[in-house]
Amino acid sequence: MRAYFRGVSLIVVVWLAVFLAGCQGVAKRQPDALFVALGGEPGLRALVDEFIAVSAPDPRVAPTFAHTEMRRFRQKFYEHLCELSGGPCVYSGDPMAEVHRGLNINEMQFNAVVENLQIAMARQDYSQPTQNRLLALLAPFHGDIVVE
Amino acid sequence: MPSAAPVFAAALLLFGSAAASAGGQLLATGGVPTIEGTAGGGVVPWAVLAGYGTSDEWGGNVYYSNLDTGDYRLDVAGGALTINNRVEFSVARQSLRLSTLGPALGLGAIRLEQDVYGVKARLAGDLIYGDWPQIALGVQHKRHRDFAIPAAVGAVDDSDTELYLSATRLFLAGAGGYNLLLNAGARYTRANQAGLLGFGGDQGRSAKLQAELSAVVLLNRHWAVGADYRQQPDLLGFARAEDWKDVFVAWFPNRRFSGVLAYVDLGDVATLRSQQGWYLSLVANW
Repeated sequence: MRAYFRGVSLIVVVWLAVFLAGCQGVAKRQPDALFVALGGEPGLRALVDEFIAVSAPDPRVAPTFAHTEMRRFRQKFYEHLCELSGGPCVYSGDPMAEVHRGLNINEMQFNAVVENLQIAMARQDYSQPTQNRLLALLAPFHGDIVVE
Repeated sequence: MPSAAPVFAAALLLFGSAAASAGGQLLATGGVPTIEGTAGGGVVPWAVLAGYGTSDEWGGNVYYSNLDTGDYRLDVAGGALTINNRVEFSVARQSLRLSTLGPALGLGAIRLEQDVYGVKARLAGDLIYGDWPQIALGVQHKRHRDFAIPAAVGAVDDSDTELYLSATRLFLAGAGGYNLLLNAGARYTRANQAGLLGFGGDQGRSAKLQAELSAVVLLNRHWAVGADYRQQPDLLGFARAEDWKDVFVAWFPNRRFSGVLAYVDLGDVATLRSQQGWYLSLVANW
């Protein structure tokens, strides 16, 4: 009788585990390989902090960031990178064109941001393919950001 | 050209100590100088312009290159100036030493020299961003300083002007996650060995379209490996001209300097078989 009860419990537990895992799979889609390669949420949050640390003393971009509310930037940039890389996030900020309107960002400043991101990614020890794949997802925003 | 090395060293010091910014473009995206002065991949011009200047900056470079196949030694000193990433002006002096052919002709280890003046304009597109590859149209005027040898082997003219069109694109993560640069160009030319043996010949005087291709994989921000292929017209009856090929490693430690080491295969050149050798190029940008 005891053995029978233990057997039923085990089946219920396994069934519950499978059911819950299945529910999670429905509610939250499996994060993409790139998001995982970037270290998930802690990795991307660390990347954003590293990027800010590299950019703060950079005279090419510091004047633009001087007008930026950094706490908000920190959170929105994280959300954007998380969503783009296939993580379980939704970017809640404004469209890129709107965010950068009036900042008069030129080619030199855009490239400086790309370069600082490359430096920050290298400091995070991301592999070269991981770095390039993230850049490839960001490159299409060039037209929304740079004033020709 | 014995005077080239000190001039280059002086230029390195000058640009190395200059306080001005080295331009706002991403590292390695200016390519390297070709043997004809314009920016590209060693022997093939690309649609990129020399230096790292963006649309509101001036840029440029000076460089020195050397190719030695044993039978031939080519020294090139040159420079380029790019205005607003739109138009590039370039100049190169090529000095070819005929280490084997000269003595064989009873002339000693003679040298011949050619000057190349170039203008290249970016017409459309962008190397990295937007929908279109970067497209540029270039013109090169080549002029011999001593035409005796090319004339002796059947070349018709000692100077010529040739047009080329290039399309170049960098594909982010395009090669297994590594950035891939592809270039395809066409040159309207009748130059024998890029003009070092003059223009036109006993087998034909008119120019033809020749393909010029490059493929490069960027290992990271500072290192790239690639290959060039450059078709050659074959207009001199005394010897067959073959297409040029090379493989190279390029190093971009910063925006100021770059270096290229290549292994070049020129094929048969002026009756001498299978001309292969090392090519080294040192560049100072601003």
